Amino acid sequence: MTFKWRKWNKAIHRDFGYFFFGMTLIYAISGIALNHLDDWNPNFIITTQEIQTNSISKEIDKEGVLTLLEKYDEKENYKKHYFPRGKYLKVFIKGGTITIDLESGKGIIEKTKRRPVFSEMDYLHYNPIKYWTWFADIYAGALIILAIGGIFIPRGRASLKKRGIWFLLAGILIPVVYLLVYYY
Amino acid sequence: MKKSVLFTLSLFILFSAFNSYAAVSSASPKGDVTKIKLKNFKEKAGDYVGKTIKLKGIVDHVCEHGGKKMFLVEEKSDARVKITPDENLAAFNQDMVGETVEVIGVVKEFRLDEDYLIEMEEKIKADSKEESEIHMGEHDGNKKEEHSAEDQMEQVNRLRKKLKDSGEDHLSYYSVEATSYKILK
Repeated sequence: MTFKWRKWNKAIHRDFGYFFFGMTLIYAISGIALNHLDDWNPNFIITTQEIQTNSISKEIDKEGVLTLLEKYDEKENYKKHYFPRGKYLKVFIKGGTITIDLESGKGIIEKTKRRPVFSEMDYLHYNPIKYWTWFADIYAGALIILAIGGIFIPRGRASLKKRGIWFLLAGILIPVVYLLVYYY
Repeated sequence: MKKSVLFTLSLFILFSAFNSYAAVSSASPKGDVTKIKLKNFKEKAGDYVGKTIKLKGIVDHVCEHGGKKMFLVEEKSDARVKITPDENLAAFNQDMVGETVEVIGVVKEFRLDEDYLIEMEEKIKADSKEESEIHMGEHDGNKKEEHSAEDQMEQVNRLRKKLKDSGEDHLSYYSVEATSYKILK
């Protein structure tokens, strides 16, 4: 009985394709998002609002801070406060911070909201824990199998020996050109 | 076949979830744990390198890119301590900002010496050369990269002066590699 490698290759390619469908989308979408970090923040939607209040004493207590927050509808969101470098009042509120220069009273309310879908995908892309890294390594290994196995699936005119080889070479040529131009 | 795939997948997910939960909730550390106040960390850290300590503070900042570091502060001092998760601990969450946490972890030392500064200089020069080659002929008036390289060189010079003023052959920077933490109510 001969080993039917084509049958096995096809089955592995099909089932790995199904199983790692989610992982491929996670790494592809977060990869695009992280490629453009200079243009946007894929993890968070950050909104800022400049504020101006009177100068603030470093002796201000929690009650005083709460009174201050009331003016900006943030009283209910108060978490904690402290005085960085003795020059500022930093108030932690739910979903953000308020930083005010004690002397000038000039400040900024910064609100941070998770960007749905992208923040979760980016979190995983950054390898949050070693168990995820293990799974990501398995996925990377599966991609190698998918890539190598994939080129042997088509038969006839579309096979590797005919049309396929030109596409394969073109795909390899592009990174090689980049390396020759920018790396060497 | 279907059952075995689902079983393996469930085991993997359960295993990962259980481990991250156990690590975040106070896992019992091995050996002695010394409690250090955040305001005393800078001066005492040198004596505890490689040892396990316990610290309490307010989370001032969590790294936006993956949560692999956070900084603890406290109300009555200017102390700021960098905390990184060890490999068994999941990355920190942005929701932790503003919460008071108790961290148990190992004190780590990073030594900055003249060799490191030379390496930094060479890297800045190489990066800046690469940038100018890539952008050659298409300068659009945006001097972000240029300023950034200048700023970095300035920082290297500041550090070199600090190193010289210290009279030592290196500057030590301490942080804590957390093995567990809990959010205090």
